[in-house]
Amino acid sequence: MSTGIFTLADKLQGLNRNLHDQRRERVASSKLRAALETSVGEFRQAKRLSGPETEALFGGRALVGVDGSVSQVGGNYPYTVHLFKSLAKSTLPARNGATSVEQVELLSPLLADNLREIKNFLEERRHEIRVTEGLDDEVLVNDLAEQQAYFMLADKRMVEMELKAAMEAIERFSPYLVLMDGGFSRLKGKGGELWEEFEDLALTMGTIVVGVIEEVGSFRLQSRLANHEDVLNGFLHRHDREILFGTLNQGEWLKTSLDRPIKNEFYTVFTRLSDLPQAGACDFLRGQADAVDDVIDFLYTITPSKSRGIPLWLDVVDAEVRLTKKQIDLIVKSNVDVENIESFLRPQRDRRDF
Amino acid sequence: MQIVGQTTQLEAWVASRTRKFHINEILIIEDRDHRHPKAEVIETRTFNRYIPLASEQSNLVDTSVLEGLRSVGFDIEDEEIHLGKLRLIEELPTPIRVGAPARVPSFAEVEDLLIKRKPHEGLTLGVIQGSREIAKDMPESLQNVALLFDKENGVGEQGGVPFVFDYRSMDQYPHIGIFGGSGSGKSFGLRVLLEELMLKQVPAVVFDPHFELTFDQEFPNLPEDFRHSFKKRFVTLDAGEDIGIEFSELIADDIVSLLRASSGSITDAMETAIKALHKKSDSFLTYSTRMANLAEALDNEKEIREQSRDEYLNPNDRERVKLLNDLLVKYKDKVGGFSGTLRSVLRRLTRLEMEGVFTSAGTKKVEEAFAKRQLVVIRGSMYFLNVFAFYVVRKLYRKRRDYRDSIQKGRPVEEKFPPFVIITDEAHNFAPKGDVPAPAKGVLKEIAQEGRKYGVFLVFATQRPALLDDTITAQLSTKLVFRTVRSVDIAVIKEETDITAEEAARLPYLSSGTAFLSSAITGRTTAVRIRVSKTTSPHFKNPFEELEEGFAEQDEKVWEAVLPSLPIDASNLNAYLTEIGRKVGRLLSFDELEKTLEDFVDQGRLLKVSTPFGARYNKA
Repeated sequence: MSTGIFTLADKLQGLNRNLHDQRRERVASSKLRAALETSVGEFRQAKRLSGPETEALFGGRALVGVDGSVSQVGGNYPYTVHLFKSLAKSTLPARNGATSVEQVELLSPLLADNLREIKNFLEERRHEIRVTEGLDDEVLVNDLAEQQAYFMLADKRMVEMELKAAMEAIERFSPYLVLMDGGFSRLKGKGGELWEEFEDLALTMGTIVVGVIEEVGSFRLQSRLANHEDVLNGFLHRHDREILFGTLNQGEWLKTSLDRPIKNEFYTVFTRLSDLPQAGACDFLRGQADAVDDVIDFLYTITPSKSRGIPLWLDVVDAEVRLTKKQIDLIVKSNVDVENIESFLRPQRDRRDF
Repeated sequence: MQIVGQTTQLEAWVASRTRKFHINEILIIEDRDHRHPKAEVIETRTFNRYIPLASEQSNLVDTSVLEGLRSVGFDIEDEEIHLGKLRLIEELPTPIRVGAPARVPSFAEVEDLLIKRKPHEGLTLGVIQGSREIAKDMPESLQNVALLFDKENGVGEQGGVPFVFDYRSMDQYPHIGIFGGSGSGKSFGLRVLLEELMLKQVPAVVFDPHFELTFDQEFPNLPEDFRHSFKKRFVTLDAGEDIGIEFSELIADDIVSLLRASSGSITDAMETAIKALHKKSDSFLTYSTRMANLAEALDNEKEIREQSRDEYLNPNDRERVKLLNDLLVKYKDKVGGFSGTLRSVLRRLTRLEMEGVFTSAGTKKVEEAFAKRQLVVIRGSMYFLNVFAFYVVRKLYRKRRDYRDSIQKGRPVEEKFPPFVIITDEAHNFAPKGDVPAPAKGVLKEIAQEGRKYGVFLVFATQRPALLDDTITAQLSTKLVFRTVRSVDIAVIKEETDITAEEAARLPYLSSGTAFLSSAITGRTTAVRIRVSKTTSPHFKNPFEELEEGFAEQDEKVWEAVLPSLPIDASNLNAYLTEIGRKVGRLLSFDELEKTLEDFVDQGRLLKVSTPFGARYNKA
């Protein structure tokens, strides 16, 4: 047996010691909280709403959850296919009895139309796409750029489909609240004009839209805390998630100041909806920030205390939108001929024996 | 309802969001390529993917969360998905189409499958499980022919398609087995089967070791049009009184098996002696006298041999001596010289004789009842019935066989003899497996194998199919299987029926009164809920309740008698004994009266008070 694994164990212990030493330098949590209160916003405790309270809040309107799923079939670019599905699911049926809006799409460089689209996209975004320099082989360089463009396009496609599903759901169900899986930055960044349209529709229809973020990925708090000496000591990279870990109590949320928002385009608050110490966040449209107290109470109500901190409705939508590997296998095998699968779509790693 | 997942040429899963599947219900799969095959639900499941089993990965969801979602219109508990495993009634050449819709058939579509005979043509045993929905558009003639009973609601509606057993096909597929543990509803099923046989006036003989098969007590609370009197359709005979064995009809081998059955075991020497001494048409008297005489001769062998040569013996003695000497000459070598053997046999024979086994009653009463197409119930202890069954069954079977043979061979027919059914509970005692001896086993095996030729059929009920003779088990074309718990018995049932693994797994959990009917006649296994019987067994009352009631009654009587005599002087109870005894109707002892009065004090009905003249019982 190789001894490499023991060497790795040693190295990991070293890392662990390092992390531990770092953490020891941290100030008391109360001091951190005090700093956050001065520079970021106030701590609020969410309450669980009773049935009648929830009914009063929604006034008979629906709750909609929106999520998307993307699955890749095949091997390396360009022998690959992306399957997209987006779903907006409502708690109340529309007039025609439907309770959800679903969109599906397929994207693959194996299709001539799609390939043209990829090449056009590459031309448009040439400036954003950088390929490692120093490669002589021009064909390879082009291939890599194309591949990058393809993945960007796939991301864009997914966002567009989520936004479309959400918009159709707002029109059809006229819900009180729409929960999007993930923050608004991604939607706005990749959705472009469609995002503007979505925002406008939500504001006109009086539908509150919220982006529910499971794991905070932002990097905003450290600049706010910079003038408080010590409080950032002991934090390694000073990402928001690191600072907020264990700082909020269960059901507590950090109501950031509306006058000095964390993000420029949206209104973001930090939350801890379940008993996990990891903080999450919620994005609101700036124009809808005044609904934040009610909405957070409601989200806390529908989040199981022993869960990863996501409102159950988004879990329900997530479960429904996801295409399982089994389903994909089945649908591919029963609709694509074996010769085609084998010659274009079968990655070599599927053939591994172990 | 839709076919989902993987299918085979025989099995598939069907799923529905709104409708739960019923076990054993029949569905039609709309698969055009296969001409809409029919299938039976053999397993059911329901799950809610949002309420999974709690585990490390998925926790139970708080109720407040569910309430929160319910308030905005989503009831997670409605998100159930129902699954049913289907088995096709007939196998297909290729697998069922996945995605094919499935539906509940109309009655007309499955009539051929479920109803082989109309209720008046067959034995209406119960209701086919899972047929409730199909039964909605069933014709009137099939309704209310098999009412059901359960302990909570009493006699209730039929709620399904009746199961009618085509008993006339028994000439092709003879004999019925009824298996099930205690409390499984086996006795109940047997009773219903017997009622149906009586309704069809099929002559039958039942061996009833439990004294429970009488049919004159009506089941309580039956609706008017479901009631039926069986009083003229059956007779009960007590073994050893109403029927007996005619000794002169026995051959030596019969006597051996009778004695073996009645006394456990007999020695080889006894067997040899029994056979050697027996002559055709011996009566009990001639046979036992011969045996007694020989025993006497063996004891006094020397004297007898001497005396037989004595010419001056008086004539009476001479005759006696000659008789004994002749027996010695004839039998001594055959029976060995030991008189003890003979006396052992004699003791056993005499015991049977005293118990009334050898009476001249024979089977006359059974034959008379058969002529009237009645059911004959022969009652007696297990041990007694075992002795009788062999004789009765053989005699009846021979009569029937001779009658049929005569017709076949064109001989003049002396006596008409009807076809009939032989029924026993605890059948494993009459025909045990392996080389366990039982007198009736031989003839029962013969009937199992050849009975259908002559129109003689067996209905064998037992808790222990694993202990029943293999040859006979194999010949039971129809098997009614109630709840069975022992794995050895389940193994036998699996082997001897077309019950599937899924059905076998349900056997230990079947509710009382539900059975799988596996039959060559119906061609497939049907789950049947046995109908309510129209009659009830005489000892329906729980013995402990009976005890309570009996005693309460007794106390009440004494109480009534004590009342007028109050207050009672405790030191002078003797003075009250006669008076109270007269009122109660039996003599009371001092101790009994004192104990009863003290009991009344404990119950608070009397007060025991001290007075200057001693203790006194006053009314409380």
